[in-house]
Amino acid sequence: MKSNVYTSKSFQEKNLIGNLKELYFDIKHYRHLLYSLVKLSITQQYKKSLLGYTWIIISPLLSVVIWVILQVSGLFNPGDTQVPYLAFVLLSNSIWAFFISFYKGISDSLTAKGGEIIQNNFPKIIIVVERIIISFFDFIIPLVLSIIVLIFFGVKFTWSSFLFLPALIPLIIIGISFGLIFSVIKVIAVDFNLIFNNFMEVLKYLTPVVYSTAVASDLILNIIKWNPLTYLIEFPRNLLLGGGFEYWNIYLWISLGSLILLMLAIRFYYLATPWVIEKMTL
Amino acid sequence: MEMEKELLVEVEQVSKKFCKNLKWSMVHGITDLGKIAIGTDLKRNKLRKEEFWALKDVCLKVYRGDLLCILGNNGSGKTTLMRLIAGIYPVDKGQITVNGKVSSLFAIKSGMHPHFSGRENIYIKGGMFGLTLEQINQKIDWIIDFSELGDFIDSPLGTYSSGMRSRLGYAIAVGTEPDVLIIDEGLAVGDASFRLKCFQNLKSISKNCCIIFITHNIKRVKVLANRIMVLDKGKFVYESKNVEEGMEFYIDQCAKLSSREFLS
Repeated sequence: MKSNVYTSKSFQEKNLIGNLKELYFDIKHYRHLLYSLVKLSITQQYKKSLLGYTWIIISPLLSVVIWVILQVSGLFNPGDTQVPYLAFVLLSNSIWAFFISFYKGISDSLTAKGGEIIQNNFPKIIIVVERIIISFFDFIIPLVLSIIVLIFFGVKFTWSSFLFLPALIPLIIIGISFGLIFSVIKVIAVDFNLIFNNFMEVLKYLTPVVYSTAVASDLILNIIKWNPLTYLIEFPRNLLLGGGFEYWNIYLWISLGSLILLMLAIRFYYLATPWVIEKMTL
Repeated sequence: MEMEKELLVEVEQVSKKFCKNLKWSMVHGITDLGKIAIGTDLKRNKLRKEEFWALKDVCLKVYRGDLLCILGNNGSGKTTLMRLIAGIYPVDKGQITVNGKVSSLFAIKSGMHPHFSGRENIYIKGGMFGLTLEQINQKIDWIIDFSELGDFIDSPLGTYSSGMRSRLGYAIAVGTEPDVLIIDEGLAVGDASFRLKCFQNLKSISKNCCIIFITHNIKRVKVLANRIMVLDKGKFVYESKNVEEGMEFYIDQCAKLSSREFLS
């Protein structure tokens, strides 16, 4: 029979490797809960709708239509980018939204599920994994639509385009890491999250997302150069759009850094989460 | 006889503190996170500003076959103790050993979703209790049968009466076949016939597990419990196998409190 011993030091007994093992076994044992929560998240927003799951396609389709109208109207056409500006913005925006969805989704996860957490003892990491799956789900459908539109507007895809998704992994890892850290902090006080949310808004414009480096000023260029996210976004984007990328060694170093950040975030999450649960009633 | 019983829950000198002030709770919380981040000790055994002991040096042993009722006034620490045993809150001092699987019913309707059918809710809530898909498939007929929901099981939970919801909640918790079942005011709703059914069910399953329940309904204690403990200001002040005596002690204590308040 399974025996659990709880003391104030219980959570410090394991090291990082122990935490990672726990993570693996929790996901394995609670896979049904994970499946249920994913299904719940996807279905509950459409349960009380007549069109139902059709909305999963309709919503991204509408935003694509808006972008197409803008493109045809010629409002957005600086003309000096390698690919059509529309394609560039469409893709960059969805990459950025993908990155933010990890941070936002995970950082809200503990507080959003507070009611359940205070009543049931289940591994909190399950709701983090659930948010990760939802982020992928929310990204893939608009992405496929964007690619169809891009093909329609004459963008040529090459074999390297297939490396696009794997190349996004370091960016995803950074989103998850910040999400983990801020989910714990948010239970105590929301101030830090509010500051960081605003920081992320600003960061979007300090990263070449909605504009290309070709049109940026010197100051912005300097910031962009030292912003690690620049490389994590440009590399996969260029892979997909078939452009060259000369900083792949910087990309690899930042990827390694993101992995270290993730390990630290997981460690912090496992050590800190138990102590914030009692604050959820406040 | 006593020694042969299997020990399922052992609470040894356990203390739990809370902060009674929101601002200080945030200050202490952030300080703790900072300490965790740099790897220093949290020193949970000392009180800081605006903190108090919700439970102080509590000891408790629960054996298989026990139907233990914990009585106490509001704020005496009953729910806190249950959350510690369920592993939801971490302990600040002392040690809790739990042998076997724990299922807890705090708010009977928590983790249930109104747009989803009773059947879907069984799968969601079952997952929260740590059941695998196979285990839920095995138990689902029993749960539907016990909750007496009939055709309603495939209707959205939002269409249920509150009694029906709590019937379902109870059936799911018991369906997990726990070794330790914690019921915190979980049987407050539901009609008389279902309550009776629950009592009979609790009596019969208690032979194979232990049940710790919290209620303010004195009648229920009399019918159910075979052990009684009274908690007051975070400490056990009474323990007995004689349920009647325990209830008298509790009523006396409550009466004393109310007359004290009345006089002042």
